[in-house]
Amino acid sequence: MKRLYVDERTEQINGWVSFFCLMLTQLALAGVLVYKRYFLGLPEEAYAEIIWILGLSVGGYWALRLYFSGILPVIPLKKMAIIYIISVALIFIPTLLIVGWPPAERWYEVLYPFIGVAVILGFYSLVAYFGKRRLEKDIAEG
Amino acid sequence: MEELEMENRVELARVEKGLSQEQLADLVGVTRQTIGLIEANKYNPTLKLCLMLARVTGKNLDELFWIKGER
Repeated sequence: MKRLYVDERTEQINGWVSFFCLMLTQLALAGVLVYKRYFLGLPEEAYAEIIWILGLSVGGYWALRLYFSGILPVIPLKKMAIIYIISVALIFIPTLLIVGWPPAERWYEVLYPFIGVAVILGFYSLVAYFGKRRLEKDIAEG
Repeated sequence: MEELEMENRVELARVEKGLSQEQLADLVGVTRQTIGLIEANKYNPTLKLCLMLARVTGKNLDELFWIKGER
């Protein structure tokens, strides 16, 4: 029997198919999430694991893709601080105006925008820094 | 940016060498289907595969591949 080659074209096709199926899976999970949350009105405990799986899948996919492409610009600390302040203000102020202060027993909810933006920007900085470093190392090695 | 289309004379070079698609595919380590698609201008091979095809058929790279409209 003739052996089957995995050549560059079939590898390319494998990549496209994997991407397509991953997107399909993520969309299906998002659909299930929306259905459970808004159509069935289930509490968060009923779909918390889906949020985690979807978050890890989407976050992991983009982090790895951007890390290996090494294309994200590394933002200097001062500029990053400005972006952080503006982002927090853009989330915090409208939320406060619409929803108001949380009750005293849930005071920690006030911190969500501060922590959330810090996590996202910190994650971005790590991916950008290590992605660029890896690429520059590859280039330097020739 | 304008997308460039590639053309090639892989089929002619292969026939000149007296090779079948399958034989050429075996020599460069790809499938017969990949050779068929390259010859039909429906698949752009990587530079590595272009160089292997050039080596096996005894041609220069620019004899084998060129940008559409430039020849």
